[in-house]
Amino acid sequence: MMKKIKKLIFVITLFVAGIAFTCNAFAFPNGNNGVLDGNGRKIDILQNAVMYDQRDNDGNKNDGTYTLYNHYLDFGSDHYFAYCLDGIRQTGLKNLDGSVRKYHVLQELDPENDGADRVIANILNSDASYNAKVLAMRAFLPYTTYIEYNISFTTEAANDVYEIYANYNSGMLWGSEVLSDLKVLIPKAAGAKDADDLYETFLKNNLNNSTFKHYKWRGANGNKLNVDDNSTVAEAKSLFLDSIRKAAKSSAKTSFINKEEVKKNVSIKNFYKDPETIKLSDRDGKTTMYAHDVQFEVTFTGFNQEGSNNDVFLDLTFDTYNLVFGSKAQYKFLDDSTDTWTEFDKNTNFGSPDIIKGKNQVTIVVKLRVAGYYGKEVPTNAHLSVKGSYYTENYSGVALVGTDDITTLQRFFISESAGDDYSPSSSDESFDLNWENEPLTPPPGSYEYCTSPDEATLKDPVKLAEFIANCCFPSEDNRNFDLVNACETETDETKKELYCTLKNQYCDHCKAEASGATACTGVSATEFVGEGKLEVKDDDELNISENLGVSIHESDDIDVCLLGDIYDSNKVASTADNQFCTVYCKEDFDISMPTAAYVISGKYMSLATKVNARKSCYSSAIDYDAFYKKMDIANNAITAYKSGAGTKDSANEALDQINSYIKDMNECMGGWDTTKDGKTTKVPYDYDPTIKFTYPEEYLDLYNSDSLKFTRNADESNQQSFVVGCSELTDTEVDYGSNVKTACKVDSKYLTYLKSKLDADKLLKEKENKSAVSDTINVNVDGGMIQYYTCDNVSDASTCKENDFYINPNNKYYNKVTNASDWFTLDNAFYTKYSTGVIVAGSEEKDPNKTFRASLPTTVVSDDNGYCKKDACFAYTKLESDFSKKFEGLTSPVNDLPISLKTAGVTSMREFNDPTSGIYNYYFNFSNLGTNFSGNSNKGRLDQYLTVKNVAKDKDGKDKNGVDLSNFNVNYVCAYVVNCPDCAIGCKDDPENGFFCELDFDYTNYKCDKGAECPLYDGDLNVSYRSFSAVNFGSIENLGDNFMTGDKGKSAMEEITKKGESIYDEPEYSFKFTPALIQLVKSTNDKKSSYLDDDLYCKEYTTEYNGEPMSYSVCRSSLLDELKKEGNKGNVKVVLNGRALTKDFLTYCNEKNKACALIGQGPAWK
Amino acid sequence: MKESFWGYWLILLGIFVIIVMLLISNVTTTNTQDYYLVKEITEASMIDAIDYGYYRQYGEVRIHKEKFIESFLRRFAESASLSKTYEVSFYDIYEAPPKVSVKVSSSSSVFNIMGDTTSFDIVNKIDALLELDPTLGLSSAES
Repeated sequence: MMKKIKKLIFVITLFVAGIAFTCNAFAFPNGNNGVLDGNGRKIDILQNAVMYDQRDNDGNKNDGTYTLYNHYLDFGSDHYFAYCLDGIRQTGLKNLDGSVRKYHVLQELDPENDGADRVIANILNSDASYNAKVLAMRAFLPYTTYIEYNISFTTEAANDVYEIYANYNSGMLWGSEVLSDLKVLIPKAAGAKDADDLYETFLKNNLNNSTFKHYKWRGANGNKLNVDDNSTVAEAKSLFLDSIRKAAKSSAKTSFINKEEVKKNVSIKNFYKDPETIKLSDRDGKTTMYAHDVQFEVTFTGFNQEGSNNDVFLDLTFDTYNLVFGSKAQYKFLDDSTDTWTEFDKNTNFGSPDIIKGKNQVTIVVKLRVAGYYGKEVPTNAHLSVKGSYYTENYSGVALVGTDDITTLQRFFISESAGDDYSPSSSDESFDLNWENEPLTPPPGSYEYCTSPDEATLKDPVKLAEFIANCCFPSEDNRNFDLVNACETETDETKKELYCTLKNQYCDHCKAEASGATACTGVSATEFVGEGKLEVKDDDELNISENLGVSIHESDDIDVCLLGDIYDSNKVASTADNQFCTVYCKEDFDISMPTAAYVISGKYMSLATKVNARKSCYSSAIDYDAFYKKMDIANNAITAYKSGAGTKDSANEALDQINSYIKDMNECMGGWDTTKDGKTTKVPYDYDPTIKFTYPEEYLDLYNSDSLKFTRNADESNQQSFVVGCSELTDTEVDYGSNVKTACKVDSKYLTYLKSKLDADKLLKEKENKSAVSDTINVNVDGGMIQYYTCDNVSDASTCKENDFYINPNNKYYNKVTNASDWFTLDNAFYTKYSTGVIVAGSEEKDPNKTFRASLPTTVVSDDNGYCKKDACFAYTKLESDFSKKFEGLTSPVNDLPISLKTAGVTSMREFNDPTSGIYNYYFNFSNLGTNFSGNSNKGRLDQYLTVKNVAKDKDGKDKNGVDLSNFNVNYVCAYVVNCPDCAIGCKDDPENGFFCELDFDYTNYKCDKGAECPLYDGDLNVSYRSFSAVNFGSIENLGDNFMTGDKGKSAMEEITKKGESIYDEPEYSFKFTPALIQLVKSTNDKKSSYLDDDLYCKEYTTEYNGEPMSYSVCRSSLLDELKKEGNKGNVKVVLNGRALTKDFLTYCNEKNKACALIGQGPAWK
Repeated sequence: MKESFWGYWLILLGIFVIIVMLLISNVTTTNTQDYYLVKEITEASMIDAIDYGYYRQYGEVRIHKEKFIESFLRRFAESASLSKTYEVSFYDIYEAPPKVSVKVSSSSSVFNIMGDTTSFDIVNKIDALLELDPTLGLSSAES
């Protein structure tokens, strides 16, 4: 035993020693060059702000466990530190020389609760007032166990400033990386020698000589400072930040570039084309190429701030149109003191040249030779495209960059005007010896059109072409529109009208014009270049974005171009009145005429002419914006009506408009080829697509686009389908004859709309079978309206008016209820012109396979109609939030709300296999039900109802106002548990499933010897039918417990035994069932769905039974009423002795049958 | 009387016996049919009339009297012969515990045999109750 213990201690010792060794090994890297040994990896945060972590050193690679994490940060050559993390807390922070480095945990956040975004936001916000800049921020925060801020100090001798590095570190799980690094610069304080000095003296002094030592607190739980216990977290942090702010302001030695002044940009300008045309000849002296030398400057800006050394990757790419590259290409950096020209390839990545170090801007001068195609002069529309970009990945020093990718594209026309006076240069120089290492020297300002409008002779075709190229040429990513010509009209000195004519590259007669005012004049080229670009929007609409008010007007022929050759002159715009698109259709005919016919002389004959026709359609680009805009307008009209501002007529008109919008949109979405019922005809079909929604399951999953498709029926062998809501076609070349077109981008907004539309449609189909009843809190779903009554005087039914709720299609609606989270909710589902009351109710479907039905109560509890009985269940209520407080001390007012047993998932009690016990959850959400149209909160609907039930007295003895039912939510659990004293309903508020209750009862050891008082047996009501002889009833043994036990059962047995056959002396009810009467009853049966479809109307009474209040009901059958009427007509004999509805019935019971009174156990058993 | 007349008498006697047998058979068959009809309808109607809501609240099995009668009449009408007249009477109905007594009398057509008018009324009475399953309350292990 001892050996085992020793062995165990030895193992533990080794384990601890291993951890310590590992920790220390990582904490003290070798040397000052920042290279860590062994498993450690050195990170120079100044160059690459990546924190590596060591994990899973326990040998279980990637198993998610760890014994030790080590994070290393290297802040530069002089200031290394590393700290060893034990996975929970930071345990040490030391300089490389082993001295303890002060670190300060500013705040410890729980990333699960606070979130990375919030952490970042905190940093940025807290830093916003600094007179220094948040210079870098990058974060990648996977799941972490905690986040720390570590503040340390170091020096930047070169800049003579101190930096405060605020690193918040994470990375407790495998795969996590970094982090963020923000730096706050403060000037070197007078007298501060180093970081420690700064910390100990400078900041301390600036904190008014407080006992400030460490900024260490744990903010998550609001703990106070560890050291300065007199300060709160907020106070300490405020002091700290103030101190930095003061320090920064007190010294104006900063020279940082204002963040706002640093604009990330790539500009391409100063384009110059050598006017001399260079003729390149072959060996035979024949001119084969006509070339031009061009030069331009590319300026990259904004990648650095002063003192930074970012890795900036500069890149230039070129493209030509009707041009080829010559053999010459050189560049040089404008600021390069060596004035060195370097040859380069046409697509050049300049890497991260040293010349950019510490700079914020660099300019490259590029010189190229381009030429026309072999043997051809440069055509008019030939142009060179230059795309300049830079990419920054990291940051360091005082850089403000982060990851960025800046790109600019420019195009330059190469050709000169082909005017009458144009003649190519006679130069026949095939190779210019001086070309290299010398820049082209354009005349100053000649081509600075935008910056020098006076010098810009825009009517010069060449310059105009360049102007156009600079100002409004279509971006490369868009459609193939080429500039055909351009002209301009000068309206005044500072404003010019621009006209461009564009044509489709592949279709000469497809043209569009661009026109509008340009703002080229009066603004700088750098501002203008790159911001004004022409875009092709959708298929046929052109737009200039971010710019200048220039608009493009499409040519009528553009549709032809877009439709291509597929649509010829047969094209018919069949839906010219569509609001959102145009559907073009064509018909192809195939007419077969007989070539020969065998006929019998003298006989009639027929020629078998066969005509096949096909109509195919194509929808133009759908104007979704217009659709949504119109929908919004219509919805606004409905909303206005809801709020009382609008009229009912306007709301109805809006609904009609919505229908028309949907119709048109559906038409836009369904334009594919079809035949009609497989028949052939030469008559063009009317374009009337039948939209059929197909989905794999009974219930739509509208957010799963794969499951939502609609199809238009084509011929049987060629059914087309595509996803609803295509906002963009990804394949415009569709063979309408055979291919299925499916690829498109789904417009989620349209899907959402469709969903709500479908929901509304479904809701409109809901219908309760009973009408609203006046003077109640009745609501009734009927054909899309929720009926209810409002009353001027609730006691006077004549003042009640029937009102309707209107259903807003923008509701939430769950088709299928499978769990508590899928409550049937109708937020803002209906409203009235009098109020904005909303009842949202839901119940958990007993059988999830059954279609859910609205669970709004169908009748009021105390009403004569129906089976809704508020006392039929125990109500466990949970009143949420403030509502519970308002009702504190009151007797569960929501218990008085009517609950329809039908909502428990049964449409018929007989269909309910488990009628005796169960737990059924209801969800009620009430909004603004407290007032009715009269504004009197004591009247009307639920307000009135609840107020009556819960009148509270104020100090003066007067009734307080009713409970404010403006908004509250109630989780309502109705549990049926019959006579089970040991049973309990346990309810809890589960974070995932919400509030729910369950039967807290262990059936395993359940044993009950109380007979009928223990009916909780598998939850079923098991009754048996037994026929017997009235003569010897007393001799029956082993009757059911409802007879054998209990006073009521025993008394009934005694009475039945005693009366014997004498009961047949006088019937209680007797009917002479003649064939006519039988026929009458049979006709009644035909009108009803089942024998259970009764229409009893019952009267409820309350009495006392065994000292407990007990309610009972006396019910009366309307069928018997009808038979009674027949009896009164003398047609048949109908005797209804003792039939009564009121308390007279009880009198009868007591008087006629003395046993009732003698037993004294209540009147309800007979 | 010739001997051959005995033959005629025998034939008449046979016919008479057959008629009487048919009438008796009709009566007994109808009675059987009516009994089971009443029995089954009574059972079904009592089940129909159970007030489940009342049971949920108080644990007591109760039927609605008029619901039972209505259900009985509707069911009976579907099965009754349209050539007969019945008198359906209900006696001593207990709602809780459920107990009913029903008498159904069916009057057949009037028979006239050899100048004698005869009619047969068939009366079926049934007393029935609904009892809780005596096994209720036992644990599942015991049951």
